[in-house]
Amino acid sequence: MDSASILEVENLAIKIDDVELISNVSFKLESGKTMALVGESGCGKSITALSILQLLPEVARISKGSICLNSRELSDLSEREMRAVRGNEISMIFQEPASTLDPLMTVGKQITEAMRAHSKVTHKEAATAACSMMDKVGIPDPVTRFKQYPFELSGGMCQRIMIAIALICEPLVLIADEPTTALDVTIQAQTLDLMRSLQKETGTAILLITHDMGVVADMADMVMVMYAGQVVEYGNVFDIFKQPRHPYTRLLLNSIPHIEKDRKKKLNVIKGIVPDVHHWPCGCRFNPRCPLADKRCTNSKPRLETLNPSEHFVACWNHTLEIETSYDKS
Amino acid sequence: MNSESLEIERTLTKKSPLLSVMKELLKIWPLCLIFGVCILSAILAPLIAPMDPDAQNLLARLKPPGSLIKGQVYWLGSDQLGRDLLSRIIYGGRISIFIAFLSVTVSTSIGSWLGLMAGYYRGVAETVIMRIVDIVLSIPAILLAIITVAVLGPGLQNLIIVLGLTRWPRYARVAYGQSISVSKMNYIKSARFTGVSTSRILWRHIFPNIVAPLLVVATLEFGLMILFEAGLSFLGLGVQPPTASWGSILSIGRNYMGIAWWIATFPGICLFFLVLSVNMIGDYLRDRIDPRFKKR
Repeated sequence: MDSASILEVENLAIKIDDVELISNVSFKLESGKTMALVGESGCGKSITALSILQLLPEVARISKGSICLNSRELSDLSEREMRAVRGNEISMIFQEPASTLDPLMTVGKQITEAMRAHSKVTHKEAATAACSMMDKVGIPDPVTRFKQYPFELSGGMCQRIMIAIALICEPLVLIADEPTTALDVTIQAQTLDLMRSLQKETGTAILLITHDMGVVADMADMVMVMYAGQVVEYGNVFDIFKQPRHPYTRLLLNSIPHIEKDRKKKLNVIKGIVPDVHHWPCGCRFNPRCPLADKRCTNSKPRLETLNPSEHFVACWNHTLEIETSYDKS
Repeated sequence: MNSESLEIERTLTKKSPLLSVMKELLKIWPLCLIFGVCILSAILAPLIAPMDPDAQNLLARLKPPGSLIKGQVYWLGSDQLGRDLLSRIIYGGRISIFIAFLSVTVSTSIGSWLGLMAGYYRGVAETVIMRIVDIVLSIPAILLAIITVAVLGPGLQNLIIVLGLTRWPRYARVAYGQSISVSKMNYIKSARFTGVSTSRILWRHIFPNIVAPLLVVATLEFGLMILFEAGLSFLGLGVQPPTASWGSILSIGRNYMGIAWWIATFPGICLFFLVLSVNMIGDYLRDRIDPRFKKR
């Protein structure tokens, strides 16, 4: 095992009844690094995150694979032990900051609650720590803000409070599920800057779940592209953006419109829709929508293979072929 | 998503819940005044009642309101045993309000706790609790109260127990509905993800967010409990003589309607005003607070 790996997920599969939602998902998170988990809605990004925290909905279960935090298998832990992990060693932040805060509790109390759930501190110690955390996340005048309610704060500030709650116990891993989707672009940039600076300070590994490739390019060190519950490409951010190999990744990057170049052209889309969970296509799950699909793709599932000396994996039979639609290599 | 954006809207426009309730109440001050007078006179009964409510004076039986006997003014007249009606009404109001308040407290506690559990845990707890709620609610309220009193026996203590035990399903149903929708909220999910213990989530996060409609039900039930007590005492199943309560005074006054109309009339008027003010306050609060909850 890599000495810097803090979280290792191997061959993870999640099922609801007999239907496999995600299969064969493997990745490693390293301290101080950010990994982006990219894909369309319904590809299994959020459920992967929930499974790490052992908070799957009751109908779902982990059918295969392991999730190790610092060499500790998380699925072996009891609910009590897991509760000690959540918020303390692994934290999560969500999409809509205003709705993720209890409207009837002051923001300061919500931060101290996170702290007091995991350590025996006095009210005063917790309040002091909360104020200094609020200062660290860039909230002006933390002592006044401590006693305010979420409705008195803007969306960006609420997101900062969320980050404060998530990081107050200095977790090893931070899972950010679309943290900037509900924010406007300037606040988005500020939030990402904040996450980056806090990461540098604390060495927290970040699993960033997003469908925004711009955010990926900005924040990520490693990228994992998922489609229909499977990993289709995995590698460092430069390889993924400069030399995307999987047709899905290529089409995804291609679909990002460029303001200077594509003004008069129709937007590039990936034809078709994500298949229904009960009717996964045979062979490669992307084959119905893939411009490079052939008979082999329908018959057998491609495995994740390394491409070159660096850690760049792709699951495609035809990844060496060129796609006929024009796309930008930038 | 729709309910979540409404939640955000509500969050952004909401002030401290207690403050907004107080502000609303100021707008209907006459009703609050009536209610306040009733409560105050109940609390200050020993200080404001002109005479001992149980002091009998057989020479002063059935005197009309305003009678002056041996230097004492019987402002509202006297009853069949010469006891001052005003004093009996003041002390009787104390009993009625006390019973109503305690029984509402008991039933709110039981009902909101069970409803909260049923809405959060779902599954077996939900099925068991809500089916019991359905069963109790299907029995006509006054009948249920009468049967329970018949089993437990009459008296003040049992009356409170009876009223508390038969009314809790109303709160449970409201708490259940609210608890389900609040449990789905993102901030509850977030608290779980932060490792907050379940009991803390239930009492510090869910309960405060469901308390407002419960308060409204409680005010409406308060008025109803006054009437129930009056009804049960009227039937002889509630407060026993010589203790005065508005219902028991009414019950006796019924027999003297022809010759001493005041015995039944004045407690009746007081009952009317108290229940009216409580009901209208509850209605008003519900109209102001509930629509935002109904939207969920």
